[in-house]
Parts: sequence; C-alpha cells; structure tokens
Amino acid sequence: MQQRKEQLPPGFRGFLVRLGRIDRRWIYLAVAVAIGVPMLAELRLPEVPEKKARATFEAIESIPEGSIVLLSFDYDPASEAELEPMANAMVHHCASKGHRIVFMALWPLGKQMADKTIDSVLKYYHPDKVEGVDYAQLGFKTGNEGVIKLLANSIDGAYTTDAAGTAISEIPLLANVRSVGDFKLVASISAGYPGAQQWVQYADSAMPEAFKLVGGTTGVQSSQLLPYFPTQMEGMLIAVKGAAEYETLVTEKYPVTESPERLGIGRERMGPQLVAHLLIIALIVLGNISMLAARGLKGGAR
Amino acid sequence: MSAPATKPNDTLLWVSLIVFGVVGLSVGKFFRPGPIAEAYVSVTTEVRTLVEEVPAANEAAAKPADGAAAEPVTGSTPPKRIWVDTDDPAIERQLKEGTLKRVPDVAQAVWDVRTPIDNAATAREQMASLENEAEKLSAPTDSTGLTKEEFDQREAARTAALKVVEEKRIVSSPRDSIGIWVGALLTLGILSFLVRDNPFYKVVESILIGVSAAYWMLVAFWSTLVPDLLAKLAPDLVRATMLPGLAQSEDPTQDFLLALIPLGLAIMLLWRLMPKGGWIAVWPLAVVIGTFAGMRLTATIEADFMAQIAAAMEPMAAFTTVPPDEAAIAAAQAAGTAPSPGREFNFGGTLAAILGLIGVVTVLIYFFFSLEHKGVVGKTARVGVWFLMITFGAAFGLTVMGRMTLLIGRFEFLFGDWLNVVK
Repeated sequence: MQQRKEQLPPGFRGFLVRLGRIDRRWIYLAVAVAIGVPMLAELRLPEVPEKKARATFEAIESIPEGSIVLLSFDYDPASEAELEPMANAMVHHCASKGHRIVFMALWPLGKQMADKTIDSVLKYYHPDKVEGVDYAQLGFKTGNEGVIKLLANSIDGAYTTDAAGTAISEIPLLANVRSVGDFKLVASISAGYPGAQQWVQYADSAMPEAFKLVGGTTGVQSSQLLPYFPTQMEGMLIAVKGAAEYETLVTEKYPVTESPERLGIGRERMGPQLVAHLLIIALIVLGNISMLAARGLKGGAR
Repeated sequence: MSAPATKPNDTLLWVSLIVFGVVGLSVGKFFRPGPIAEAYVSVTTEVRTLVEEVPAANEAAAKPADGAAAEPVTGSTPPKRIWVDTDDPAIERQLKEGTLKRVPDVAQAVWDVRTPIDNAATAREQMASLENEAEKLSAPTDSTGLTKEEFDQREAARTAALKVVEEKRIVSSPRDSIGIWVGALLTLGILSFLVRDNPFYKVVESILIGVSAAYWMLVAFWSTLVPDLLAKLAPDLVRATMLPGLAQSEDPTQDFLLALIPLGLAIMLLWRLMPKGGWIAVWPLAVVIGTFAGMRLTATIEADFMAQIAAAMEPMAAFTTVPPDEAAIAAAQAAGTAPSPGREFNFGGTLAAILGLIGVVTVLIYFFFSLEHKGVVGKTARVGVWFLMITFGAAFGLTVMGRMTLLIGRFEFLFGDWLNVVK
C-alpha cells in the first residue's frame, strides 16, 4: 500500500489519480444523498411527453369507447418501482375512456401487482366499475409464451376460470371474446421474459391487424424492444421517464381531484432521478479524467 | 487497467452514514413531525345476509348450477349461495324479482372490511374529512320553509348519510405497522451488503430465496398442477375440494386420457432423482426443448426477421401529412371536391432514415467475417463499431435509470412508509 502511495505524483494530478481510486462505498453514499435530498425536498419537474408516450396515449384514445382491452401484468415487486406508475395511469386511462379491462399475468406475482392497481386506481377512482362486467381478473397462468400462443387460439384454452375461480363461460365481459384477436388493444407492462417481446412474437405476428399492441417496459429491457416501435408495437413507455410523460398526458385529459398523487408516482420519481443522473454523469467524467491523469504511472492506466 | 483501490476508511464512512442518516431524519421530522411506521386502515362495517340463487325452472332441470363457493357439496348440486348486502339496490331488486331468496335460519353476519390506506398523511386527511362530515350531518335539518313531507325526506336522507359515515372508521393498524418494520429491516439488511458482506445480509438473503422458492412452488401447484392436470384426472374431486368454479368438460374421458401424457412425462422427468435410469429424464426434456425450439423458430422468423426487414425498408425522404393550406382549400372548393391534405418535408424523419440505413449496413459489415476488415471494409466496420457503442451507451443509460428507480422506490418506502418524513 505504501509503495503505491509513493507512485502518485504530487499536486493536482495526484489528487486526480487518487480520485479514481476512491473507495466505491463513497460513491454509494453520494448516490444515496443524491436520491435522498431531492426526495426530502420533494423536487418536482415538468414533463414534456415525447413521441412514444404520445403514441401510447393515442393508441388507447383511438379505439372505440367500450372496447375490451387486455392488460398483461408481466412484472413482479422487483420492478414495481419502474412499472407501477405506468400501470396505474394506463388503468385510469382505459377506465376513464370507458374501455372494459381484462387483467392477466405471465409472471407469478403479476396477479398481485394487478390486484394492487385494481384496488388503488380502478376501485378508487372508478367505483362504479363492476367486476365481471367492466373488468375481469384472470390472474397468473404458467407457461410463458405458451400462454400467449394458447390465447391466440382461444381464451378458454389458456384459462378455465378467472382468478377467483369463476368459470370463464360465466363472466359476462368475456361472453364474446374467443381469442386474443377479439381485444381491440393489448398492453403488456413487462419487466423481461416473458413479456412485451413475446406478445410481439406470438400474438402480434399471428394476427397483426386484429388489435393494437402497446408496451410498458423497464429501462433495461427497452433497448431490446425499441426496434418493434412503431410498426409492431404502436406505443411504448420506457421506464419511469415514459411513465411520467404518460401520466402527464392522462391526467391532463382525465384529471382527478382526490388523491392525485396515485397518478403522479412517476413524476415524483423523476426529481431524484435527475439528480442521480447528474451525479452519475459527473462520476463518469471524473473517472475518465482520473484515468487520463494516471496514464504512464506504474500500476495506473495505460 | 486502473490501480487497485486504496485502503477503505471504514470509520469515516460509518460516521458519514450516521451523520447523513441523523441529519436527514432530523430535517425530515422538523418539517413533518409524527410517529414512524404509522399505518392506518379504513374499516367499514358491513352487514351481510346469506342468499341463494333461484334457478329458472327449465334451467334447473337442464343445467345443474355450479357448486357454491361458501358451501362445498357432494352428491346433488345445490343452488349457489352467497353473502350479500341486502341494502344494495341490485340485490334488493333480485330479491323482489325472486331470482334470489334468503336462506332461512341463518343469522346475518356483521364484519369489518379493512382496507389499507396508502400513507399516514392520507389517513389523517381522511379522518379529518370524516369527522367534518359527521359533524355536519349531526346537525338536524333546518325545517324553515319546508313542508312536513319534505322535512321528513331530508331528515331520512341525512340519517342515512350519517349512518354511512359512522360505519366507516379509520383506525391505526399495529399489524400493518409491524409489517412496515419488518420490510424496513429486510430492506436495510439487503442494502447493508453495500458496506460489506455481513451476517445480517446473509439472513435476509436466505429469507428472500426461501420465500421466493416456496411461493413459486405454491403458484405452480395452484396454477398448473390443479387446473391443468388434477382437474383433468379427477374433475369432481377438484371441483368439490379445490376449484368450485371449475367448468364441466364436454368430454371428460378425452381430457383424462390426454392428461395422462403430461403426467407420464412429469414422472419421467422426476426419474432423474432415482439412483438408476437417469436417462429416462432425457426424453421429456427432449419434448420440452423440441416444442420450444419449434415455437420460437417460427415466432422469431416472423417477428424479428421478416417484420424487421420490412420495417427497415423506409423511404429515404420522409414527409409528414399536414392539413390542406388555403390555396388547396380554395382550389378544392372551386372544383367541388374535398381538399386533399398537404405533404411537408420532414427533416428529422429523413435524417433518421439515412442514419438507420448507414447503421444497418455498417453494423452488418462489422459482423461479416468472411471478408478481412481492411481497407474500405475495415473503415465501414469501424463506423459500425461506433453505432454499436452508441447503442450500448444508450442501453447503459437506460439501465442506470432503471436501477436508480428501484433505489428510489426503496427510499420512498424507507422515508415515507417507515420514517414518515415524506408524503
């Protein structure tokens, strides 16, 4: 250790080199401060919706009122922070527009995620909606893309009952729904496999003209899905940024007076997000400067 | 390659962590005083009556009703029984119409429906609002200028509204508070790994893995084994014990015979646990792999190959459709036809199309290894590398955004639900 210290040049260059060798836990602490302080200060930023969020909004707006839409909750609590805001906004949007919603999940905990959104958004802002008539919760079905393949053929091939154990044939909402082609719109809020990509591959490819497909994705997954927009996926919400933009569009057209924060989670999270990103950019720049300063030193960058 | 990190200064780090925590909490509590891990539930008292469906005479003869969820049955299927709120107008109407009837000799049930409230601030707001409403409704109706009939009607409406308000209560929930404490400690346990590996983290990690595995097992049992296998092999037993809403199959014998195939494959798959005959497990694996390979091949060719090629074949010059200008409208009016929309050159779209073409060609050349990457090919491949680097950079940025959001989500829980320093 002593030997390494002796290698460092004196002065500002030495400081820069030492900066590159900082204990990584200081960076963790800096990230915690960068997130914690704006959160405590309740930093809020205006959101300007861009193309993908607008396309998602327009896709839901453009289908006739009363259409049946399928919302697939393909995520679990590990991705809840990213995807819950867009799920909430989408359910409020569909319900406000008068669409009838069928919930399902390709992830085991997706059903619980959908239940949470049903309780906090659908039942809260739209208490007039009746289960079985205005919405149905099919729940989770194991089988990954196999479930989508079955749904493309027939609903009751994949689901014999809904999540509460009611036979599919006894749910009024599904009386005229034979397959996924009978939905006007399918939305997959997805954290990975199986998710939006499988909906493109197994449902949209099988019947490209039958329904509109939109997707909400995590940041990590979005680069995989971007090529599908806008030809195969008509709308796309990318991570919490996409959710914040979409929330803006939805609440501008369908405002709520009571507890509006339930439809503003994405926008709330963009304040700390901005500061954290600035910190990361600063760290990348400093890291590169430090690397350049260490060039030529023994044990340093070359 | 960068040099290894200098020796960590643990004391300074811990002091900083504590200072940050204490300062943050103090500032937060200064602006938002109140207890931590405060949880409330909204409690609504509901009175329910047991009713049963009265099937129409012809339906009762032709189609037996499904077994009632509340009353599993054996033998002949009784009418479906449900607990309902008889004050609900829809239920009241059904009772009058005779499609539902009260089950005799069963007392009414009174229970409290507990709904968790998002956060303590919302709960306090709702409590204040309920108190105000109750206070307002407690005052008797002013009879000035009202006939007796009008007064009685308003008084009845007021009493009914007051009853609804009084039936709804907001109370603190120690059970949910304990849940918040457990969640907070588990979160801190996982985050403690950032300082260094420690026993607290190990315990929390084991809990997470154990709970996840158990949950997966139960989900697989209830969502796959029960409806897709057991329900086909023994539908009556499953209907009576596990899935009361299970629909009658049109051909139970065929279902039974078909279900024997996955049952056989499952047994063969589990055979690998036996001391001998492990090769038997290879056959069901072959079925699984073969099936998925076939499914994925067609899906990938359609969605990721053909459709992507079609999507890449865009016109190089992009135009946007715009509303018809005044001249076009005037010309159309003169001709007695509908004005046709105009077209405007889209610079951004054109640039995107050109960049897309360059990106596709250069990246494809980079991955074309039959030609040595020298000269023109090498330079083109180099451009392809730049496109790849930009793509990876964008993916990295999005990954950072995703990871930060997850951390923000946890911080919201710690600062909001647990410490109660943010709303």
